[in-house]
Amino acid sequence: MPAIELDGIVYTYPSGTRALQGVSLSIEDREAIAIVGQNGAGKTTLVKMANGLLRPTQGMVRLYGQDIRNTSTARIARQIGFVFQNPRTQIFLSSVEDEVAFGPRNIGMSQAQIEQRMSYALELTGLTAHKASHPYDLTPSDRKLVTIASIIAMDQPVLILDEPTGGLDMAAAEAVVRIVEGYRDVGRTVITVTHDMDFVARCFERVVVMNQGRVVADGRTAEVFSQHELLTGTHLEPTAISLLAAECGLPKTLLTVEDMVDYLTT
Amino acid sequence: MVNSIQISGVQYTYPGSDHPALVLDEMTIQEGQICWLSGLNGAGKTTLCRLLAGLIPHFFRGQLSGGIQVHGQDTTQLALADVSGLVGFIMDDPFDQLTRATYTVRGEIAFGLQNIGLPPDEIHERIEETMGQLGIAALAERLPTSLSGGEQQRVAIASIFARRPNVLVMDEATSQLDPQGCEDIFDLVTRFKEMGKTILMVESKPDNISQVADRLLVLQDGHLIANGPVKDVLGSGVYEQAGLSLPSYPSLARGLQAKAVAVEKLPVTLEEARVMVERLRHASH
Amino acid sequence: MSISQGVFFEGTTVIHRLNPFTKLVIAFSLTLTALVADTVWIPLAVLLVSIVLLTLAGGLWKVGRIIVRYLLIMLAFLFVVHSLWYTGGESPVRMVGPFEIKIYGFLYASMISLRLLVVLSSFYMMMFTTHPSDLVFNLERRGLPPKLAYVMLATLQSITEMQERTAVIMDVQKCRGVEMEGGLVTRARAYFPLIGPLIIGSILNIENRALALEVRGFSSGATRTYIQKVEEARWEVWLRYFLVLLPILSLAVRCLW
Repeated sequence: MPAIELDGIVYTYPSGTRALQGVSLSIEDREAIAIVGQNGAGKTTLVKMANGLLRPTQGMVRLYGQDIRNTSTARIARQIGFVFQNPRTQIFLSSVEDEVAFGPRNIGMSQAQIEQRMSYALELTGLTAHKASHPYDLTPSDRKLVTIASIIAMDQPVLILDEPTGGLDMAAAEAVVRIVEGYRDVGRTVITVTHDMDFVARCFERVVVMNQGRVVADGRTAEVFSQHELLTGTHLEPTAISLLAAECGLPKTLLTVEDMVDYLTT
Repeated sequence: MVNSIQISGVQYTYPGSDHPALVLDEMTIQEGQICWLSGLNGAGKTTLCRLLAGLIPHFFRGQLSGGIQVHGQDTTQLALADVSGLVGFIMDDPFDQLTRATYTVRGEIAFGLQNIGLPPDEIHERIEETMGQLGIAALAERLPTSLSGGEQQRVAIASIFARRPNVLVMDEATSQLDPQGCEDIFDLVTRFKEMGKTILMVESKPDNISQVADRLLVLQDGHLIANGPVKDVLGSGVYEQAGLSLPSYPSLARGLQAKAVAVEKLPVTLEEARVMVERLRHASH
Repeated sequence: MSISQGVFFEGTTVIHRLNPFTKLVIAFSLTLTALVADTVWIPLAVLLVSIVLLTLAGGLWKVGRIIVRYLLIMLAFLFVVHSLWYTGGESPVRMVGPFEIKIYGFLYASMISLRLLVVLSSFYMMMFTTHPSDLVFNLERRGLPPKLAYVMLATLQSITEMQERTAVIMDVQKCRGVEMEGGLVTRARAYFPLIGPLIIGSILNIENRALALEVRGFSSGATRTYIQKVEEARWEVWLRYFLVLLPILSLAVRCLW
């Protein structure tokens, strides 16, 4: 059964602007899917339907087959983890440990489970050495990793990351790639909303392109990202390697450095 | 070529800190260049930006020693308002840079000029000129807080540019923008260079900046470990040693070298990368 | 796009077009006139004026909604308590059904209610029709120091900004399993996860805003110039003189009658 089903979702803001124009999307269990589009395309609005942060004006949202209409976001948080863009809207405790343990405690995990999940989350995000530090003594990039760790620690089957690489330095951006790969290795569903095309090309097999509240493409990342006109038409950029491939008359499905190296050396 | 920025023997420690955030023996940047400033979090990039903008020592106290010359003027001896006429400073969050003291873009651009007491006629003239230079005349009467992130950032840049600084320091100015927004900012930067301005850009995503920058400066633990043409610095290995990820094209070259493929020069631009790939394909035939 | 900001709604009514300083003087004048009076007819007359102004501004229904939502119960309680248990001395009474209504108590409650309604309606009229930056700019042109003017403006704006930020923080903490809706205990538990990021975020935001101001020459020390002209009709100046007299007249009525 799909993990998340969004069926005919229409969403109109109180001001009257229609953010989503009847979007349907089905996300399978264990899938890694990226939703891309320029700011204002409706991608964040769409994912916020999945965990009840926003409720559709029309349409239905199902989580593992259950209609979530009457379930609060705090309850859905046991199944869907959502990492927001700005760590400042989340952090309020005085140690990394406390921040990471906060969510698991709220959803009723036992102390033993909390310890175990905390350990796992800190290791995956590379923050074990900073366990006792105050989050505001860390670099901004590490603070972002704290927020990711604090959601991973809640052990949900689905993880949604909203612009996870935004504002990160290179080391932290690589850490996010490792986190996504690591989380997928243990069979979780990972969804990201981003316009970092390289990040998508490296970590996500399926991509959905949104523009003006509609889905304009949905398919294998290599296929979708090779359609340069589609991307530029929705104010996105092909990856640097895909552009190079196009210049050299090579398949535009070559998206990453690894793809190109493999192609040129075989 | 004129030296736009000259730093010598500078050391700065934030208040309450026990180690210096920046130690620069010597740093020279020539006029009319786009300089890419790179380094991990905590390397001292923002500190250097603040130093050039005069925020250190005028806003951030702490201990500063050494000399900073911008177009021949010692900025440590100037008032902050005067430094901001020489060096414009753009930050990462577009919204935070809107003063919101006014409800038009025109008003935002006028704000800084009003603060320094320019006559109204001159302010009006500078606003028109700046909007023309930055291509935002169509936004003149718009409410700044209703604009997109990219538009807001252009307004923030306009309000700084109206002071006619010689140097622009941009600290992660594109990090919160979508691809269209980023493209608009890089277009502006290229235009500024054509006008003879010196631009220092802190950028974490290397692909875009590597295409337009003339020089690359690398900071590590507060020290400047590289300052040279982009190609030279990327090819020297210093950049990777500082824990930084190469842009896609030099990274491709490294990947090929790792598979025992001979690569003569590290490509930086799309054209150079294309030439490298064509050569490899010819060689393999 | 509407430039509504907080309470302000863009419009072209005659009230919108008044000089912001005039509207501020109207609000203070009407309020003081009502506060200083000791006969119920003056606040009643002032309230009627306020209602007319509010209607002209197009804000009557909005104020009506606020009164019904937040004030009606309190005002009703006020009337009941004072009408039935007035303790200010002897009072004529009137029977209404089984209830003995003390007239002086009723008048006392009327006085308080009218004054409250005058404050609400006159200041709402001002805020509804005046963009915060127009008001502050106007005061600056009349001598308010620019830095103080900016602090006032930032304070007025911060209400909307805090509301927006709180909404985001609530969403973030919901995703960490914090229930926001429910009984008193549930909502009390949500307090620290809300307040912490709100305060920290606001403080950090202040530094960024200060930096943005400083690099725009905010502390230059030069005499600030202005590109906007302050325009007002001559009659508005005379109106303001009259408005200053109003509370004085009200005081005179109180002393002489």
